[in-house]
Amino acid sequence: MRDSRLFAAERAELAAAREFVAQMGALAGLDASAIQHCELAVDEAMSNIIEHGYRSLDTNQSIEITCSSSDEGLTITIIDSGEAFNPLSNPIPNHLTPLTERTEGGWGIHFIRTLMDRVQYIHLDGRNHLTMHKHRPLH
Amino acid sequence: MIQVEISDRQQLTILEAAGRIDSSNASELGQALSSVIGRGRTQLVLDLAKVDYMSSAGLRELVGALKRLQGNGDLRLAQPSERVLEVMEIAGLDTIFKIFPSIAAAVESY
Repeated sequence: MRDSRLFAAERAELAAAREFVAQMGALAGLDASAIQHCELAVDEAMSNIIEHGYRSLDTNQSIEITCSSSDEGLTITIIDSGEAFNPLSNPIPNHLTPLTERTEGGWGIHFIRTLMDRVQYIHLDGRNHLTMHKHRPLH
Repeated sequence: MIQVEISDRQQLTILEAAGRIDSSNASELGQALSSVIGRGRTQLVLDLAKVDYMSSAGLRELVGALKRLQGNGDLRLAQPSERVLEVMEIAGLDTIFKIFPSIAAAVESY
């Protein structure tokens, strides 16, 4: 099953985007923990796009989220037209850094990489495509 | 929309947060923490029992508050859900914050 939704690039849309992904995750047979991981990954990706990708552009931008469920699990693709940005090029935060030297951020992309089983990025036709996959748990 | 109830108990201040914390509302938590620190309260307990979701935006506010207190008081966390604890662990914050299974344990730790 495959479904796409278009969300306004606004933080107020985060809850609706998480809800969409949670519904699709349930249809894909993911358990509660895996669904929460997908919700968090989408939340972080969308927040980054709003905060960075669309920062210099006019308002009324949108973010497209497509969910595809299969026997293997859930695949989520997030597409935006903001500045080209490969989140996978971000350095992995160092857990050993003392608090005083830590920047208050940088975890969002780390969460995506840690919580999702497969993450891919391409810049295609002027748009960022971030594709994330979560396996259905084995029983 | 999140809710933060603040109560003072002698030298301690307890903040009880409720809701799902993401980048649309995390600043509300940050403002609550700042207001408490701003009036000179330095021994803080944040009750997370009613927070069933927190993204990195919420973590940023917690770290910001802890940095403001550094060396002069502490922000201790009580009753985080399994899921909130998971994001703290992934961010490596479970070793930075003192985390307690109950409000009473957090209060007694001061």
